[in-house]
Amino acid sequence: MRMVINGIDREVRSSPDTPLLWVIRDEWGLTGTKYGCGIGVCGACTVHLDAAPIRSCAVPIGSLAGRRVTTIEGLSPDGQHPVQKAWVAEDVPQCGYCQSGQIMSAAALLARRPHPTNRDIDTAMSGNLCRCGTYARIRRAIRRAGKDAHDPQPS
Amino acid sequence: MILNRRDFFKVVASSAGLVLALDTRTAGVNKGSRAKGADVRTFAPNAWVRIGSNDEIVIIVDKSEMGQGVLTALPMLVAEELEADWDRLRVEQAPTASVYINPALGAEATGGSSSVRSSYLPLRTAGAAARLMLLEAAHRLTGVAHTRLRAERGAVLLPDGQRFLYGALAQAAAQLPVPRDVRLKSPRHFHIIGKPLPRLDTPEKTTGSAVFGIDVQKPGLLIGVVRRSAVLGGRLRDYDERAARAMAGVVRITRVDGGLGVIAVDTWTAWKALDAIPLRWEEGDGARASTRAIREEYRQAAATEGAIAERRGDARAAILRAPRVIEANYEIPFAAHAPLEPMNCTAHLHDGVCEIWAPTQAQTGAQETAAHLTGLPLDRVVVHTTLLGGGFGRRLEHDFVADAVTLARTVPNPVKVVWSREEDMTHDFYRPYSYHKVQGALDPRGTPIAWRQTIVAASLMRTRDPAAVKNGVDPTAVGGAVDMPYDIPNIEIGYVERDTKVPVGFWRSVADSYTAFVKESFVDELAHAASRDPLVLRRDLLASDLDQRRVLWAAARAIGWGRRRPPGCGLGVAVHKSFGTSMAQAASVRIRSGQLHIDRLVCVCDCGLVVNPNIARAQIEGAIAFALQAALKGPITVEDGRIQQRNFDNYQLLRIDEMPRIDIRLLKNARAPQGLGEPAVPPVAPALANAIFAASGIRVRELPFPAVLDHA
Repeated sequence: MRMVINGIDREVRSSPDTPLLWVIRDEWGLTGTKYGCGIGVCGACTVHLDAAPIRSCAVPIGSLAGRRVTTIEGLSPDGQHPVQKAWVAEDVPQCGYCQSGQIMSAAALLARRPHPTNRDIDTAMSGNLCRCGTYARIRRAIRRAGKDAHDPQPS
Repeated sequence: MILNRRDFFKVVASSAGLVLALDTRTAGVNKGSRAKGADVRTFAPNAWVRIGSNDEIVIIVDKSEMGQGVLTALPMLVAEELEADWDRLRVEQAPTASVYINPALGAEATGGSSSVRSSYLPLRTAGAAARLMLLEAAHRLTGVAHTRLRAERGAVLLPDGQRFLYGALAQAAAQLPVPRDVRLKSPRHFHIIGKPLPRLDTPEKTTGSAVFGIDVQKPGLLIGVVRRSAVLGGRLRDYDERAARAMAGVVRITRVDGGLGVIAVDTWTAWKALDAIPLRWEEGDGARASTRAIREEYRQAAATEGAIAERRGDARAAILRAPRVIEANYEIPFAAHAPLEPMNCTAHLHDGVCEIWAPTQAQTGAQETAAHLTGLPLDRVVVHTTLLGGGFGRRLEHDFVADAVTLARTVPNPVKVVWSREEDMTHDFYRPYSYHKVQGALDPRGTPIAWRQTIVAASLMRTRDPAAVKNGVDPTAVGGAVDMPYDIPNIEIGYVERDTKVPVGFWRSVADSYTAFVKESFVDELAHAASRDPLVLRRDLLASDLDQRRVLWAAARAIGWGRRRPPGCGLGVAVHKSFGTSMAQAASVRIRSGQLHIDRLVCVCDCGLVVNPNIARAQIEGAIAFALQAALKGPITVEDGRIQQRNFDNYQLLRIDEMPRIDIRLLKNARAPQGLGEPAVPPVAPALANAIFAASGIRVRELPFPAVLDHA
């Protein structure tokens, strides 16, 4: 079967029951997407399936033929997605392990809801665990990204 | 002086193949060893500074980066005295070498909130020595008097405006002797230390390019997975590997310490193979262990004579004589570290060398473990430290390193062992369960005159370094209870060691995580019993610890202490000193229908001089979240010898919607830096418990807090 990963059409060799996470990490060597729990409850493995954030550890690859997947490596060509810039500006990460998942969830939220309320943020981000406790900065970074991304810009 | 040239040459000899380097110019990651021009000469006056004649300035960090910011804070110490250009540095992770032994821990290791504390003078000295040698080189080259030369932003300036980049002086400086006496700057002249500089590792942590242990990739890399007995201390009796061996991609099936390992071409194949192997276990007597039995045993043990950890005056006599005695029992559960990156390690045995890539807090321990398993001498074991996806004390252990080495010995390839979350959660070294019996005596005016506490807990040192347990007291079990800061004339702290089948380890803030809960809750109980304001009583009792008094007072003011609260609302304070740092927490809570709502937390910190306020605040925010999790969620429990929590569905971490508003104040203090990674953990739970009491009259003496707060 084939899938589109970060804009590139690729053959998948792994067996159909393999969770997307392990195809991303082991077969494609994209290690920005992390393993945290394997049961879809920690959010470290969050990627976009089309535009929706999903927990890649809990989705078998067999159900995804022909679909488009975006990982943290494909979020922007140069690490300059508004969410990534906001993350740098607020110096969000500590250990950093959960942050790919956090950023992917935040980017999906902002695409859907450019000016999220605090409640929107909490709802969208409550499935992404951070053991280091960077939550206050995550909230600030999301608000900043929402603002920056929607300042008037040449298009 | 700590500079030792012989040590340094050992370092250089083993520094090939570094896995991690940051570059401030690009603020990104550079993997692998540097591109070295053949004609580049290197000035390396000590183990932390390397200056190439191509003007590449490298600062070497000998602590593990687990989120606490050492890859930024430690280079700041060197750069300050070196007068380096902060925007043009490379930062590299140190290899293993004796020169990098952490004096606070006696090994190459990161823990005990010691990184900045133990590096403050040595790293500044390293930077200053290098600067002096560069200045001397410039003096010899130009004949200009020392007093007229100035080091600034990576160059030596001459009075006529000429500028010699450090790189241009490197070769000449390398010929000079390392100065013995190095005068350090006065903190008044710091222009890097004390600035809230952004972390150097942030950019790579936002693009997915940061390399954690689990991300290590090598040519021919195989994946190893392991499974151990669900029953604590159980052993693998036998297994049937036939079905798994027939599976495509399975390379090896072999025993590891206490369990079974499978090596396969990828992670999912390895797990599927492991699932296909029927395993039979020798459960052993661990199968009888349960939280209920431990609790009962501890409760009884608390009534026995403990070993004396601290004695002032005669607490027993004072309690007998006192007109009023208050008594309470406290219980704090086992807790898991649960770093988001599960245990993992990569090992490769080749050419008579064992190479290890590990997210480890304990390089010396990793090295010794591998040497022991392989029979290789220590200097044939090379440990590369990757980024750590959280540590919190869990990665001071070596069990995951042993797994990687054990499996890698069976194949010529490098093997990366990755634990499942379930293995990680059920085979942690947990924060010990503890039970506390406390008695306090009040004189007729309501002043505490005696404090007697018996602590029942397992010993961390019994299995690690039995000699550290002196006269029956393990100092790591009673830290924070001894050295009582409150001026109470009669104090007795006893310790009863009760080891269980549950493995225990160093969990962020260690014993202080439970002793502070007891101390700060019980002093509140004494205040209420004496009808005194808990803040004022603490202040009065802190007459000989003005640092703690100061942070306490500041936190209480900031939370609005003394103002009347509506019904169901309450304020609480707690203060505690650990790892050299005084930390106060104030909490404002509301209780509605038995549900706790945290409106606000205020944390006031006196950790001495703050090297980087941006990182310091992050550490405090993180420590508070860590403490909130243990106060509100968990616990780890045992039944039939099995840890009952296997993943984040039933061992829940704090979520973003549960993170309260937190205000942090860092008090100014020119004293040398103290610990910061841990000290904000201990006062959180008691500040909340005290606020809950103020709001509801319910005294919580167990962690985590009950899901419903009512008067039942």
